Amino acid sequence: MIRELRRRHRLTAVGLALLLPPAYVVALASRAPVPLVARPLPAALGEPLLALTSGRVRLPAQSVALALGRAADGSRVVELDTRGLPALPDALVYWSARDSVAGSLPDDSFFLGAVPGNAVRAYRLPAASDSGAGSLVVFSVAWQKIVLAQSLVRGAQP
Amino acid sequence: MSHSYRAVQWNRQKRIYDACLAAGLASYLALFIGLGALVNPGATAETLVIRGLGTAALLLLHVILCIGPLCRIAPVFLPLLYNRRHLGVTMFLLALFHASFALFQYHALGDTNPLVSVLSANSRLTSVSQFPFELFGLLALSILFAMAATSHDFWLANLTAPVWKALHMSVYVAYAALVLHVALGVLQDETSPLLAGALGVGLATVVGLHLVAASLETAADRERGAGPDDWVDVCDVDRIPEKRARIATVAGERVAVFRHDGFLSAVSNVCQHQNGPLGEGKIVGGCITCPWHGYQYDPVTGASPPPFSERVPTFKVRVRARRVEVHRIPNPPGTRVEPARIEEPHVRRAG
Repeated sequence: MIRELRRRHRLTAVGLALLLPPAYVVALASRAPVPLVARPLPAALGEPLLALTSGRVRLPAQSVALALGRAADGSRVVELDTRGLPALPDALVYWSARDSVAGSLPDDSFFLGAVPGNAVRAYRLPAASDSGAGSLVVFSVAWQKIVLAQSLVRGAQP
Repeated sequence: MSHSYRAVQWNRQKRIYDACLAAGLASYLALFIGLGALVNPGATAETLVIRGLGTAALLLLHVILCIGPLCRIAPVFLPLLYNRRHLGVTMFLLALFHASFALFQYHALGDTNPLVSVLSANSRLTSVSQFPFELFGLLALSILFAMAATSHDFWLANLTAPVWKALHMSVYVAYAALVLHVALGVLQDETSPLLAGALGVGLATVVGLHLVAASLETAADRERGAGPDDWVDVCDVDRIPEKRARIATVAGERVAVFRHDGFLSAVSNVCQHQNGPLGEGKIVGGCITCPWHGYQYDPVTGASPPPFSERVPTFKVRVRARRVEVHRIPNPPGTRVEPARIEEPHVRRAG
C-alpha cells in the first residue's frame, strides 16, 4: 500500500508541475491594465481665498487638507485634498446651514458628493451658503455617523 | 516514541525547533510590518497585519513542502523534518488569523453576515481577473484545518499511517488553491514584478524539488527479480556500512538490510509511525532508529523494545559468495529471524 501511496505522490507532483505554472501565468496575464495617465482631476483652486479656513482636519486615521474659496462665477467652493491618503470609500460630503453640527446628520443637509480618493476635489456650495455661514459635514455610510463637522464661518479654525 | 497518549511529547530538540520557529516568525512579522509602514505610509495597520500574516503562512507552506523532497535528495535536511507537524499547525494558525482579520476588515462592517458576504459579494465566476479569489482561500483553509486537526499521533494511530498520509497529501490541493488565491487576489492589484516573481520562484522551487525527488523514488522502486528459490540478490556485502542499511525493492515493497556487529538482518523499510524510511536510519543502542522521528526496532525481531508495541515485518537473509540475498516472502511483523553471519574473506599470508 505504501508503494501505491508513493506512486500517487509522484503523480500529484507531476500534476502540479503540469497544471499550476500555466494557471499562474494565465492569472498574471489576465491582470487588468493599469492606466499610465490618471484621469484629469478637477482643477484645484490654487491659493485659497479665505486662508483662515485652510488647514488640515482630522478624519479617522487620516488627515485631509481643506480649503475654501470662490469659483469663477462667484459661487462659494470648498475643496478637499486627500492625495497620498487612504481612500474613504463610504464617506459622503454634505453642507449644512448650521454653524455647529454634532450627532446625526441634520435634515437640512445638502449633498455635495463623495470624498475623493487620492485626489483633489472641489464642491460647489449652495447659494444659501453665500452668507458665509454653515458647516462642512463628512458622513460615513458604513458607520452611520458623522466623522467630520467643520464650521465654515470666517475665523473658525479647523 | 510513546506507549501512552500525550498532547505534545516535548523534548529538547522540539523546544529548540519551536523556539527557532517562533523567533523567525516574530522577526518576519516585525520586519514586514515595519518595512511596509515605511515604504507605503498610506497602508493601514490592519492591512499590514493581514498581509504580514498571509505572506508568513504562504512562506511557511513553501518551507514545509520543500522539506520532504529535500530529505529525499540529501539526508542533511532530516533534522528539519523531525518536527514538521509543528510547522504545519503554526502555518494553519497564521492562515486562520489572516482569514479572520480579512473577514472582519472587508466583510464585517456591513449589514450582511460576514460569511454570507464573503461567499456572495462577488459572483463574477466567469472572469479570470475578477474571480472571487476568496473561494480559493476558503478551500485551502478548510483543507489545512482538517490536516491540523488530525495532525496528532492519536489520529495517526487510529486512521493508520497510509490513510493518514493519503489525507495529508491533500496539502498539494491546498497549495494550488493558495497560489491561485494570491494570483487572482492581491497580485491583480499589486503589479510589482517583485511580488509575482517571488511567488513564481517559490512555485518553481516546490515543483522542481518534487520532480527531482519523484525521479529518485522511481529509480529506487525498481523491482529486483527473485531466483528460482525465491531469494533476491541485493548487493555485495561490503556495500553495506556498519550500523547502516542497504535498501532494495523486493516483492513490491522496500526492504532494509542492516549490518550490525558482523551480522546482517532484513526488515521492512516502512516505519510503523509515519511510514518513514527505516533503511535511511542507523542502528543506535542495538536498535534500528527511524531517521524521521526516532522510532526504534530490534533488527533481529522487527519489534520495538518494551514497553512499546510497534512491529515491522522481517525477512530471511543469507550471504552467498559475499553477495547479500533476501528471501522475497516477508515474515509476520515481529517474527524473529536468525541474522546471517558475515564471513570475513580469507587472507593469504606471505611465507
